[in-house]
Amino acid sequence: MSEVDNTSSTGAEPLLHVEDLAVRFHTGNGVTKAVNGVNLMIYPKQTLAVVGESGCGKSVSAMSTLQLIPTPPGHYERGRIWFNGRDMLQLDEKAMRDVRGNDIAMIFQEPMTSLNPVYTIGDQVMEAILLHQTKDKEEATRIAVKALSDVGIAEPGQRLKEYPHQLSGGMRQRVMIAMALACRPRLLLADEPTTALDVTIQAQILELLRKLQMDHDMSIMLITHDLGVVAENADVVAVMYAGQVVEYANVHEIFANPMHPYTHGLFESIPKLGGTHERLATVLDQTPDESVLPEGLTFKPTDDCPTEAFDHFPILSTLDRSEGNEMVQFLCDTAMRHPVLHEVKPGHWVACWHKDGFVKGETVYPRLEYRRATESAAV
Amino acid sequence: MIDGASLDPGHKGVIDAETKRTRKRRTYIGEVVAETVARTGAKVGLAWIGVVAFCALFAPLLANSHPLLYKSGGEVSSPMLKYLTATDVILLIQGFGLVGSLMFWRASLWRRVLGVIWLGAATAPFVLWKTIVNLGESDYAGLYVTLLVLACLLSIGVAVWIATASRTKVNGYTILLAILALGLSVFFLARPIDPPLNVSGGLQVYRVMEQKGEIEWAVLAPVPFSSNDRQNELKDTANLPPGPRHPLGTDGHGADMLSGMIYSCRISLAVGFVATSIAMTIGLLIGGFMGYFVGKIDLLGMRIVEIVEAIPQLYLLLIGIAALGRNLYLMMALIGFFSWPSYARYIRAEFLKLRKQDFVQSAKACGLPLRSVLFRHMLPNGVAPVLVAASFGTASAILLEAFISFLGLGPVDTTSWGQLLNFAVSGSGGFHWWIAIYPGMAIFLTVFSYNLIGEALRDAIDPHLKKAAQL
Repeated sequence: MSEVDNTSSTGAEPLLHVEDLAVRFHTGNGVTKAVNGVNLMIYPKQTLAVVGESGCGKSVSAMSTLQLIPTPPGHYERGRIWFNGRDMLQLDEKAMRDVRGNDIAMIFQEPMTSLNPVYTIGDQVMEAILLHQTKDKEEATRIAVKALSDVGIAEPGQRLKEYPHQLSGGMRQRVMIAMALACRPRLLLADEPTTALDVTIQAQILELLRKLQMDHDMSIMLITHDLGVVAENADVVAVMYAGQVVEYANVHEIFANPMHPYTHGLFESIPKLGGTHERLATVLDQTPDESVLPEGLTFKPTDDCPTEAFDHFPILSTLDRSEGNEMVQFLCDTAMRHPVLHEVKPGHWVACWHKDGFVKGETVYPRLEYRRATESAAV
Repeated sequence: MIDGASLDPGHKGVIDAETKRTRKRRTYIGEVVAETVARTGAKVGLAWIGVVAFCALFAPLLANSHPLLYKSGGEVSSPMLKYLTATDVILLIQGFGLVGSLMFWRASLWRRVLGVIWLGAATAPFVLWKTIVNLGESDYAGLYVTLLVLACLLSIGVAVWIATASRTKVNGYTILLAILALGLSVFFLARPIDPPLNVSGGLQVYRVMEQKGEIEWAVLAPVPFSSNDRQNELKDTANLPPGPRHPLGTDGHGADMLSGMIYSCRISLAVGFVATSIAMTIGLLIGGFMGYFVGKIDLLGMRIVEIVEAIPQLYLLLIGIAALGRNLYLMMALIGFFSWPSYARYIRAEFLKLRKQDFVQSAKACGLPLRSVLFRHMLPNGVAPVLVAASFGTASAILLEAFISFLGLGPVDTTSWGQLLNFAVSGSGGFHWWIAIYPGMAIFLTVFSYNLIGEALRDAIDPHLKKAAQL
C-alpha cells in the first residue's frame, strides 16, 4: 500500500460525532456494558468501517445513533451523539422520527428478515417516501421506481408489486438499500450489509454502495467483521473491542501498521491461502494483558485521581470537582480503569494506559478526515 | 468502473433469472386463507357456518307466517315486506350485499367482508328512521333524532367519499368513521323500538282468511310459520312431534321448531361474532402494547390479564343478568369484555418475538410512526395465532350463550337454540326428544365447525410461519 498523506484535513466539520457514548443493558444477570465510552467521527462522504468481534458494541453504537436501542433493557448511560448540531440522544421520539430515514438511514444484516413478508416491495419502499418526501402517490411511485432502478433492479415498476419472498437475498438487500436511500439520507448506517450474502453478491452490493455514496454525497458507517470488506471499502477504520474503540486510523495505516494487540490478533486470525496446517491464531481473552502491550505504552493505574485523567476526559474540567462530585469520581475511575485513545503517531490512535507519545488535546476524540483516492476503490 | 458497473445488462439478466421462477403473486394472509380452505375440516366447517349464516340473513324469506305475496280483496300485497323489523331489513340488505359482492365485486375477501358490514351499518339509521321519529313522546326523542341525523349524514358522507376516492387507502380516519357509524348503528339496533311484529288478530290471521276463502292466491315462505307464531287458532299445538305440518315438531308454546331453529341462527352468529370481536379488539390492543413496550407496561398488563382470567365467566354472566336484566347485548358485552386475556397473551408472545425482528427495526429506522410499526408492520405478522384462538373463542361464546339461554336467562323476545332446548323437558314432566335433538345438534355442529376451522387455520399457519418469515 502506498504512503498516505495524513494531512488531508480540510478543517471541515464532522457529520457525525459520537462522544463518549456508553450504553448498558439491564439483564436478568446484571448489567452488561455493551458500549463503554465510544468516540467516533464521520466526515461528509467518508466511509468509516467499524470492525470487531460479535458483541463488541458495533451495532449498539450504530443503533444508538437512531435511538433504536429498546430502552427497557437498554439504557443510555452517558455521552452525546452530535449530528447536524443536535444531540441525537436528547431528541424526543417525534424529532427522532424526522431524522430516521430522512437524515440517517440504516440497513440491516439479514436481508431475508429485514423486509416485512406481508407487504409488497412497493408498499414498503413507498411508505417511507410518503412519510418523508411527498404526499402525492404518483410522485412517490416515481421516486420508488427511480430508487429501485438506482440500485440495479431490473423492471422496477414490476418489482414494486412483488412480495419479499419472491426475491432472492441479493435482490432483497438491494431493495433494502433502495428503501434506505429513497429519502436521500446524509449518513447510512450499514450494519453488516453483506454478511448473509454469498461472495459474488457481496461484491456487487459493496460496489453498489460505493457508487451510491458518490452519487448521493453520503457518508457510510460500515459495520463489519470482514477485514476484506474493510480493506476494499473503508477510508477510516475504528477497531472496537469490549465496548470501546481500541484503534483508530486510516485504512492503509491500520493494515500496514496495526498497533493494538487486539488488532494484531484480528489480523493473525485470518486464514491465509497456502498457509501452514497450524491452528489459526485466536484473539486473547477479555482484558488485554499489560505484558503484550507495545513497548512504552504501559501505565500503572494509581488509586488517586491523577491530573492526566483531566486530559483524557476534557469534560472533567467543565465539572465542579470541588466537593467530591460523584460524576468526577466516576470519570476519574473510568479514566484509570479503562485505556484511553492516544494519538501515538499522527493520524493513528491506540487505546492504552500511558501518556507517552500522546499529543495533548487530541487524545480522546480521534478525528481523521481521510478519504481514499477513488482509484483505489475500484476492484 | 465504479459507476454503472452494477447496472450493466449482464447483471440485470442474472437478477431477472433469479426471481422469474418464483413469480407468483399472493399475500401472506391470502395464502393462509387458501391453505385453510383447502383442508377438508375447514370445508365442512365453513359449509355449516355458511348454512347458518344463510338462515340468519334470509330468515324472513325462509320462515314467515306472513305470505311473501298474496291477493286478497282484489289487491296484491306483500305482508312479508310490510312487517319486516329493522333487524330483518338490515340483515336482508347485508345478505343481498354479500351475494352481490361475491358475484359482481372483484375485490379481496377482506374488502368484501368489510364492505358488507359497512353496508349494514350504513343502512341502519335509514331503516330505523321511522321508528325513531315515532318516539315523539319519549324523553330522549330529541337526542335520538339528533344522533340519527348524524348517523345518516355520516353514512352518506363516507359512501360519497369512498365512491369519489378511486383507490381508498384504509387509514386511521376511515377506520374511525367506520367505527363511529358502526357504533351508532349498534346503538340504534339495541333500542327495543322495532315496530310490533304481530298483526292485529295475531299471526294466524292469514290461515283464518284462507279458511274463509278470502285469499285468492298466496306465495308462502318455505316454512309458513314465524318463530313467534303460536298458532292460537288451534288447540293442543304444544309439543307436537315431527309430522307433515311441522317437520321438526313444535315447541312448548306451540310454535314451529324449524322456524325457531332458523331464527335462532341469528343469535348464535351474533353472539359469536360480536363477543369475539370485542374480546379480540381489547386483547390485541393490550397484548400489543405489552409485547412491544415490555418492562413496566408488560408487568402491569400481565397482572390485569391474570385478574380478569381469574373471574369465572359463567358466574359473572349470571350475576350480570340478575343485576341488569335479560338482554342479548349485555350478554355479548360481558362475554366480550371478559374473554380477551387469552388473545392478549397470544399477541403479547408474538410481539415479544417480532419486536426484535429486523423488519420491525428497519421500519423504525425508516422513521415510521409508532402506530404504523405496531399495527401495519407487526400486527399482520402476529395475528395468525390469534385468529386460531378467535375461532375457538367464537365456539365457546356460542356455548356460553346456549347455556345461559338453557337456564332460561337468555334474551327475552328472540328464540335461541339454548332456549328451545329448555322446552325439551316440559313442566308436566314429559321429555320431547325432537326438542332436545335438533337444537342440540345445531349447537354441536356450530361449535364443532368453528373448532374445525380453528384447527385447519392452525395447521395452515404452522409450517407457513417458519417458511415465510424464517422465524
